[in-house]
Amino acid sequence: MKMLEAGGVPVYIDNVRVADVDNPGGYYELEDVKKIKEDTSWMDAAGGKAFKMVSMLLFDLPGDRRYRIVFMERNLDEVIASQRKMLERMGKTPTDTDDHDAKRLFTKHLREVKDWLSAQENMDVLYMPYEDVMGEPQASASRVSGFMGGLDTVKMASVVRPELYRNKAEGPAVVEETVDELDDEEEEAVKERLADLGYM
Amino acid sequence: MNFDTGRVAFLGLDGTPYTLVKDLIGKGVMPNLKAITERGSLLQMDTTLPEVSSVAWTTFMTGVNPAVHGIYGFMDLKPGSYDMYFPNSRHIKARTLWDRLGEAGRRSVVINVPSTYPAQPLNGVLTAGFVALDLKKATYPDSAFEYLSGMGYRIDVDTRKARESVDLLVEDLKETLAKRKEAILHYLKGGDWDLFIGVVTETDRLHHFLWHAYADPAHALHGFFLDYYRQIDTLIGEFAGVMAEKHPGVPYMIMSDHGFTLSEQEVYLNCWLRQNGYQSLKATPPKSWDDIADGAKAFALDPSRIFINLKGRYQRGCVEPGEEYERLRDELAEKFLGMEFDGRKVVKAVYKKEDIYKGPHSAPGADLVLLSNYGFDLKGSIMKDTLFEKGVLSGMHTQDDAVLVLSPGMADEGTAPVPKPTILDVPATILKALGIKAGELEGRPLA
Repeated sequence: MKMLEAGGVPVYIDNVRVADVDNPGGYYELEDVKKIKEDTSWMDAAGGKAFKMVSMLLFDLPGDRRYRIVFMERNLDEVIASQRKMLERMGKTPTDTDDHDAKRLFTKHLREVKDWLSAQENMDVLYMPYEDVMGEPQASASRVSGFMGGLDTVKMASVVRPELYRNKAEGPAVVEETVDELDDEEEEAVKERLADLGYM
Repeated sequence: MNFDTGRVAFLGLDGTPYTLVKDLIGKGVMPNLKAITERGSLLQMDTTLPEVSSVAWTTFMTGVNPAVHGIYGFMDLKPGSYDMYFPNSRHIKARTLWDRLGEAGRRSVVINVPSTYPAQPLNGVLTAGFVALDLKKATYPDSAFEYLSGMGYRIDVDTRKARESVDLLVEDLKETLAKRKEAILHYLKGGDWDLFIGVVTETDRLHHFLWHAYADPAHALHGFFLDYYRQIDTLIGEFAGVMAEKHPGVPYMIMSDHGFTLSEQEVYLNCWLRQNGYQSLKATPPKSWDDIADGAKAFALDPSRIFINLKGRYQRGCVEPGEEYERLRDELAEKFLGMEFDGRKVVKAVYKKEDIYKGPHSAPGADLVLLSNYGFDLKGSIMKDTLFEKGVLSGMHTQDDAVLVLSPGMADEGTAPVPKPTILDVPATILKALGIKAGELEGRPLA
């Protein structure tokens, strides 16, 4: 959001949630976004501006207007590590099972939302790996400018703060979908059950 | 709809036909269901193509067709290969009803819905149905596993033993239903849900193995069949009683995922393809679909799915996309429609992929899906070298005879929706009752 603002895109935020240790650069959020299911009246004022939205709420975007969506992708282990730290600061103690379950839920959700986005004729999407933005801010700024049109890429790159890239995980930044098959023994057991009922 | 409680309950009866329900109500076997339907709605319903539980229940739980949710059968081919895999709950590509409720901070209890194994985390409780193997892996959260394992819950009838002994089957059916009922009523009474779904799958097992006992009033187990449905009706009565006492004003529905009828002949589609020159094998007997020889034009997967061996889609694909593919599909469709047994047509209808599957995941769908006439149970086994065979199982699924019951007050009495409801209409009805908007669902609310 900071990059878009620096590049010349008006941002639609309310400054309700102020910068803190988890996000020293600020949140750039808009509380009205969270109520999009019930109330889209705020969207008229957001026309031509950028606002931030979690991917789960994309499904609720009204179909009567066009959208350009910059979809930030981050390594899921980093997302979960970041979430874990935030929960710990809130006095909660997430377990390894919680992390495992969260990763599965996120993976499934990302698969669904990307499939859904690909079918929406009123939405153009640019997928941006977070790691690329942190590692190559100028090249990333150019990509975003190409997608949005005519932004100041030098100013965009200048606001990137790689020192804030924490919870860095090993592995690719682009999310890889993992779908767990059953193991061989389970697959054989399934085939037997299916054969018993005449399905094989 | 007159309710505005934002809660809904649902009872599934796997494989229970509308026509069976009508018959048993008429015979006085199901007085509780009769009372409900006299003040509510009793509807005949179409299900998915193919009419198999994995596809039907996934369509029910997501509200979209297989080209959106991605499940086309109990087993499917790995992309590009002839190797089979079991599509499990993690392969479902659309949000379930309980996913949507969870996003809205609302709670679901889901008991024994097929195609939900292994259990995925949700806001609530879930224990998976067929083809669940391990109760721990089938259940979320741990507290639910502790309760279910403690009360001796059974995931399913032991179908291997059922094939060996009808006495073992009869006892297993009784005991499994008893535990299922206990679990369903326990969670229903508990009330900590906005959406309650409980499914009985014992009805499907009863029908697969003992439909002939229902069809023949003189059969030794005819009485057992009717008594079993008296037990089902008792469950329905207790379910309705809990709803009236503990959750007044909350609507509920009762539904089956497909119907059943008597199987007279099993029909082996891969054998037909071989007999008619569209397939040959490189190994006899074949162990898998990988034993289909080079040059095979088509192959079948259970129950009624025909795949063209297309170049670029399969490793040893030989049919050219475009004109050859279309000509072959038309030729196969015409021949399937002409297939006869003792002067009777075997196939009622042939559907092309693009006519029934619409969405981003249509690629794995069959090129042709067949719908048989009653009595002919279409099979995709690669190993059978006879075209027609009287099988061990006496019941087969039907596509047009599922049942749907709406509780009193959900819909105007005496009116049947036009056109005939489909299984896609049920999740749309549930979400409307819950007050959740879901524009991408494909069905229409029935109340």
